[in-house]
Amino acid sequence: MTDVFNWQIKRNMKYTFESPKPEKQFAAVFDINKCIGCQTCSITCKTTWTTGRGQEYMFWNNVESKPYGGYPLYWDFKLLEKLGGGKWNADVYDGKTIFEKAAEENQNVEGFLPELDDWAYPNMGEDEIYGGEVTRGMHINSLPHPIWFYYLPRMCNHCSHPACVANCPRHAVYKRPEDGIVLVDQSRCQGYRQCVAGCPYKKPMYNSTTFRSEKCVACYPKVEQGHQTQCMEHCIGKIRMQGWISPPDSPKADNPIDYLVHVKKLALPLYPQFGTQPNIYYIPPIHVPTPYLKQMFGPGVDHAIKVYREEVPKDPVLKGLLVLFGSAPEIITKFEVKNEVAMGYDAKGTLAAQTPIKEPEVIRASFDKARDVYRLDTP
Amino acid sequence: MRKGLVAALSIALLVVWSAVSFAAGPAPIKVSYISKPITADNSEIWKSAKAQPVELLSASQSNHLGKGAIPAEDAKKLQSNARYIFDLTGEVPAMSIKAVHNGKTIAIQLTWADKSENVENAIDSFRDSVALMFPVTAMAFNPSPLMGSKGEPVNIWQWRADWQAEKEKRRGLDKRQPQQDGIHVGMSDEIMKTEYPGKPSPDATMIEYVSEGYGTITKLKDQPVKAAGHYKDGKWTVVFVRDINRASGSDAELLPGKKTFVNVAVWNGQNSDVNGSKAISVVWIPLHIDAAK
Repeated sequence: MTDVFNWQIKRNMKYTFESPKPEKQFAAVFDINKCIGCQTCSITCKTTWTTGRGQEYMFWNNVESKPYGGYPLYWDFKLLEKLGGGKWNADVYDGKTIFEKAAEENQNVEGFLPELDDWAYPNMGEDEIYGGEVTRGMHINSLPHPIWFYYLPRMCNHCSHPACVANCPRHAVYKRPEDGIVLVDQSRCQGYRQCVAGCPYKKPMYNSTTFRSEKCVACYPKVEQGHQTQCMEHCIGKIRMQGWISPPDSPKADNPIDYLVHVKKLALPLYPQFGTQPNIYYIPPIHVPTPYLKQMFGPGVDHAIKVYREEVPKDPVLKGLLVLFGSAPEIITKFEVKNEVAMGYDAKGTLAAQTPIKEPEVIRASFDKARDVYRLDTP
Repeated sequence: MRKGLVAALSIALLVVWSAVSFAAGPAPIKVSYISKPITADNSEIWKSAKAQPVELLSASQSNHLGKGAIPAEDAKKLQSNARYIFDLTGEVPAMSIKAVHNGKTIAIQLTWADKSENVENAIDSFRDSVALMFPVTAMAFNPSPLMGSKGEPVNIWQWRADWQAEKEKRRGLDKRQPQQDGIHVGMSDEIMKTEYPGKPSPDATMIEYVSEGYGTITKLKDQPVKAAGHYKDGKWTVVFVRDINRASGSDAELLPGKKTFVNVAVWNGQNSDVNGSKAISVVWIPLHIDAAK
């Protein structure tokens, strides 16, 4: 065990390895407010990577409805219960991470192995609301909503302190130095399922026909070519922005991920209290009451919601960056906003996307003299 | 993950280590010479062989060496980077071993009690399994009895109940996961299975490894050992068969008229045993191979 600094919980913690920082770190921001739960991400991943025998039950990317849904069932609540809650002291986590909890029992990682049936209902609880019944004639006209649910799209977090790496007795799971992508070396994996049990997000999965575990590969063949992953590129709601995240002490203001995560603190990690420093960041849903969101995204929720509601409408840069989401197949490494137009550049500095914050609008007269017809214009 | 074993850890290790260092150690296992042809399914060969008991100890995994884990000096004595916790009170099966050779072929039979037959190794289930481990070089007492040590390899033969069942066309998961039928199977299936076949051969019931310490087991290119297992009346019986002449320098030297060592491990699928969670004989058991006549 060694001491590492986890910026998401603002303190040092014990981790199994003293692994060097990767040259770059794979990261993405998901705007949950825009997710419509269409599952296009799940299907594009499924058809690309997991159509083999033994992979029938696998969704390396899934979308679940919160608070009740989960794939596998209750993956998060089971672990939260094992950790025994966990308090934040302002923005410092006072509770135990999965590594610290496990160390009490001379284990590497606190976790559990889900049962077969837990994986079998990826849409359990879909669209199920929390907060009571919807009655006839009811209006909800305040934020947050008293009755709510939201979609949570999930994939491997390619964590900076991955629990799957820590728990593998064979060093078969590794973090690539060039981009921080976490992979299972199929030639070393013995199928012990320690990564499945250890990963708090339950993203490694066991293949019972190859007798090995597998996980999201962050579409590395695409990423190596400068392209976004399948799930990011094909997102219908354009809720995803993939890129590279810098350490918190050296953010680059023209890097989309840095700007959203470090500069504006609008996007937050998923269950930072687990301690793995996950690299998929979420813009929290503004209609959901904050106690639940704080449990899921940590103490930065109030600030993030305030920025989304109050700053975004006034800030052309932030607004511009948000319209760049899903606007190019390439990974946008730099952006700028000029004259109400947002521009995204790929790693070579080539313009990859150009999007006006406001689409041009034309209002036509309702009567067309040339054709002698009336038109119903719809905006 | 097993709980409540930590307290027993240091004491258990010291007890075990004392047993290794100062006591006489386990009684040798005799490999009797017979003049009959040896195959895995020939039960005749076991009639004259004497069943010898194998003492096992319950083990599970610990975290990486550090504060609160296996004391570093104990690990050093065991010449191993292994991360095991031994539990003296843990339940282990009663096991017996028989071994014969005819100058050309050697066979080892293991019989142990197991209340449940676990032949599925799927998403949440674990198989029953048994393994033998030998120093690659006969009479080498140096490799750690916990998976060998660097430069001092051990040869491991592991039989697996799920592979045995698959060979016999009994695949339990198909019943629990019926939605496998009729679905589209894409290219990834062929790619994965060509690049990384699950078994050494489609009909394999066992796998042979070489290892130089914890976390280093590596599948052997040639798999000369054959195994067959069957479950009856609450007991597993597994027979391993190999030519006396070894196929490669990573196979164990098993020479008639000479001595070597063996170590045994058993996994109980019902207890979710896998990896370091198993019952093991811990210390090397002498293996005395009769001279060929």
